[in-house]
Amino acid sequence: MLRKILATAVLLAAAGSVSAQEPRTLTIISHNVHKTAATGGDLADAQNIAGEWAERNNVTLNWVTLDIGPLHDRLLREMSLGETSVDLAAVLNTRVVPSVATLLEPLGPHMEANPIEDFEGISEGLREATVINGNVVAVPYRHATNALHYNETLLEERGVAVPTTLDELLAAARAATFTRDDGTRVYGLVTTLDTHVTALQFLSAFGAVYIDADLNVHANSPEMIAGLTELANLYKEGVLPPNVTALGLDELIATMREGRGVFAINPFSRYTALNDPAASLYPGQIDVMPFPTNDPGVASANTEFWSWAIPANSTQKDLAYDLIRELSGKDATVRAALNGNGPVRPAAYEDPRIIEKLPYAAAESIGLRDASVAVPAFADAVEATTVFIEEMQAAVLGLKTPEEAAASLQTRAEELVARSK
Amino acid sequence: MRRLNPAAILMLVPTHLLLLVVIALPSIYVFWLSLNESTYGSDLTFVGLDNYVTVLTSSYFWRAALNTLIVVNAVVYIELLIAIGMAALFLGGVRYPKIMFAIVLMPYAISEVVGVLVWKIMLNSGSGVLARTIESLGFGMFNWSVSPPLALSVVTLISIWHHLPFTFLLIYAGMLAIPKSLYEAARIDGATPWQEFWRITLPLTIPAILISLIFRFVFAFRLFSEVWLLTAGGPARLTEVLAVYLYQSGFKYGEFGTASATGWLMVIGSLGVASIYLWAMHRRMLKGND
Amino acid sequence: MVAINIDRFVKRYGALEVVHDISFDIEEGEFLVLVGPSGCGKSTILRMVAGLEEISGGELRMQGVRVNELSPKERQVAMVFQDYALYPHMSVEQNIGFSLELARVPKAEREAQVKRVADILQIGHLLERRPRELSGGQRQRVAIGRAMVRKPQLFLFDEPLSNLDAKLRAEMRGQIKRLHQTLKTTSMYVTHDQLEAMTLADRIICLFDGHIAQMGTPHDLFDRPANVFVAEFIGSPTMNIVPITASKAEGRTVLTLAGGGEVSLPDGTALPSLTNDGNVLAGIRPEHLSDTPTPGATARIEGVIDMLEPLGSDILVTMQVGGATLTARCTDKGQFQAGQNLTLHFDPARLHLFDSKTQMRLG
Repeated sequence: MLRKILATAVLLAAAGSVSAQEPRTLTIISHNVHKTAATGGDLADAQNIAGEWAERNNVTLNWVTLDIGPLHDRLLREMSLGETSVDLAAVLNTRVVPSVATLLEPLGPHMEANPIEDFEGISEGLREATVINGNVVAVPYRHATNALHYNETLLEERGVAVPTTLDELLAAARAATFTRDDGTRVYGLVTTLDTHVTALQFLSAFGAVYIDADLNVHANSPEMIAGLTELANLYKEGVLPPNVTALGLDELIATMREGRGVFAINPFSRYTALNDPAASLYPGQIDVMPFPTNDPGVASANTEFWSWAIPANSTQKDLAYDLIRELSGKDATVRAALNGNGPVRPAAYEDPRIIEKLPYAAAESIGLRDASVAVPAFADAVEATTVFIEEMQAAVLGLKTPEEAAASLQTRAEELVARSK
Repeated sequence: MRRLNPAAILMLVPTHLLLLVVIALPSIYVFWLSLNESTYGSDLTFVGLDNYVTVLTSSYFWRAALNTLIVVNAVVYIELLIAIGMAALFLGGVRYPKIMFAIVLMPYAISEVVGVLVWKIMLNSGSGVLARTIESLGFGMFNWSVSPPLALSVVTLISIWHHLPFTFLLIYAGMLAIPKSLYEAARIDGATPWQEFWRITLPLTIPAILISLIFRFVFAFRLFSEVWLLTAGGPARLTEVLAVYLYQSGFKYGEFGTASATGWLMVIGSLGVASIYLWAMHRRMLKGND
Repeated sequence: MVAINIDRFVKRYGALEVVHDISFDIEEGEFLVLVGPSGCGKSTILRMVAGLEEISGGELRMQGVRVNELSPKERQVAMVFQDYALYPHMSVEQNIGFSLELARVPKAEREAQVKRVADILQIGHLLERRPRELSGGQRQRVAIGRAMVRKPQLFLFDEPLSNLDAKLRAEMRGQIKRLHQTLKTTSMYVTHDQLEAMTLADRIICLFDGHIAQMGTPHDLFDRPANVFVAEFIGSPTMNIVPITASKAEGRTVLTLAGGGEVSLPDGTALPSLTNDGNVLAGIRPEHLSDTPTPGATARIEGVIDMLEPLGSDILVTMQVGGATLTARCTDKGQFQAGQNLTLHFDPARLHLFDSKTQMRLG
């Protein structure tokens, strides 16, 4: 009798363990913007793409969101271990350098077995940048392409027309710089010169390139010197804010929202924040356009982009890849864009949902078309950006002449490139 | 020196083990790292003293070292003077002592990051309340972020503001420990308040002053968040301090070897400074002046 | 000649008054001791005289001149503190010479003065030492030296011996007394120890709760205490005080103790006029009670021995007399045993009578 009861109990227990299978947990480490793009976050009409996938697959998503520096620091540490609990990570293009790529799972075999929908539909430049030593190590997910935001109301107030070329922009920025009666200064051009991206955006409009995709350094070019000279002049004339080399993103947003800046160099997607009716004094009046060059119709656009990658020491690579596949699909790309993501598929900009929701969609699609990566990924890419910031700031503040800065930048960048080869 | 009995040694063991695990072992490991070249995902490659050579021949290291030295000395000594003055003021009696005490201690209760950011907002050229006040007083635009001397002065100011309560507390406690009767004796002997301060208060506060100097030099040497949050070492890396230099090489460039070497050089540097004061204290102890 | 006038001193801390309208004079060269239990205001008065406490009310005159507003230095007073208050970071020489240094006395003269004082106090060999290297007695002497070197108008002592052990205290007491006899500096000395007061004082002021309980020579206070407080405070062991009822029976005065015991007084004993229908407090010092009849000890009291406390040659005998407890100091010849009946003899002239309500002396 007792034996019979025991046998029944064992059977029941075994049956229970099968039917009530524990949901698996997938740990994702990313910046908060990726979580918002994939889940919609707190948005009113959130598109919870990742959530729907998780429910279908009985997976619990564990998001770890960090700022850019700590995010990569943490990820690299995790990947240096024997095994990591991080299954999926968002990585910035400049950080996917060869030494890091060796720590990432090659995605080729996964993609062969289980292809991503219309992979070729993802912007080619971005796709190519994620191939390291012949291996696809990451799938592009989000781009931040720089553009020119401008306050239409202030331009009107100053009687300045919306520029169409670089020269017109420089003249307009100068003309729009003034001091209000209450002593408030309004700056013609606002940007953050504590990072390389926005500065390179400005310089690339002059045709300047720092380091190209083949790791050739072009810092000491007439275009670079011309761009640096113009930047230094704008600073000297007070068109740029006096603390431009220390100006952070929050301050840039505040300056534009409060009408203390007329033009701003910033990613397209900043449109929403700058026009936020709850925070901006000029809601709906800050428009955006591709950054002009002196070549009519051709924009200059520097971009940075994020990709999804899987740590080679992860234990749930297939599951993680399945989520990448889900997030990279055509429809998912459109839905993430509705969440505020910068879609890496140019086709997404033609989707009616996007045209209806994002006023800047058309401009951004032009920007993405002309976009190039600010600094290519190589072993000392981060140091190369630091060197650029240093020399650029020295030129802007007049600590060095643009010629000296460009020459020095050339030498130092060549050393870094040589070292990493 | 008294000899320790086994029971006493046994009771000291946990503390020593803890110190060993959290201080000695990591320090030794960092020293080992400083003799190797490594980055994320790479194995250690022994390079001897190469990293030290790299750091010591880097002009950025020396600029950071010079900046650190200037700021640290300015911070420590100005802070000490203010703390002594304030402690003497409190000792002499202030109105509403409890409220005043709370006000003086408040900066220490504020998170360093929050404090620095608030200062940064107040000092924002053009829109910050302090910057605009300075400007309206006719000093011109207070554009510290592009001027290394001004930026380092702001760093100094904020650092003093934040750590003053610590130094003040140490010194005030030192002054409170002086028996009241000594002041009465001095008054009877005909000392003026000024003489009381110079002949009684100050000489008897010297042990507390030495201790606070040692603490503050060692703490100040690690100066990081003020600089990082205000200028991040800019413009053009002109305001970097040693901890920022270390952070750049270790956490931005992933060069663990040079970062570890920088760390050890910082330890040696701050020990060098602290040892001057430790030696002074030791000498006083031998002379029986405490 | 009067050196110091303390005229209607009042000390208030906020609403709290701790010294109430106290007046007394100190004669030139006099050694005046303020004695009383802790909290009686004696130290406060001393510190008001020193200039360390503000005088809330009244006037302090030195040589006839008001000095309320003068600093301690200007009053030319010197003070010896209970904790010595030596400057720990200075040598003995610097400690003693500090006031001279502040007064900008030239170095050579300063050294000579310090040496003179050090020689008097026999601390010449300690001049290079620091206070922490000295014994308690040596520190005390340095403190006195520091006061002496200023040649003050008035010496103030604030319980200077209370941190010393009994033997050293007796020694230092003698030294202070000798010093005063040599220097003849007007001195004001505060203590809670009645023995110190008795041995040192030319005159004693006994304080109680911010009032003067009695002022006079040590003999005055000992022989004719003005009230129960002084009677109990001065003298050791403490005076026996018992409530009694005095009545006349057959022409003789009979004192009945509260518990029923009786004291026989010889015929013709003159008592002061009694108050409260004869219900008064009677006091007699233990040393004035004797187990053997002596000439003059004409009064007797009987009881049972309760406790014995041998002191060596003397013994304290505690006796129960009808509910009251009496202590006698007798010569110890081994004659006592607890439980024994005992008759004590005393001279009626040694009897002190106090009003039971006002506690003031009668007669």
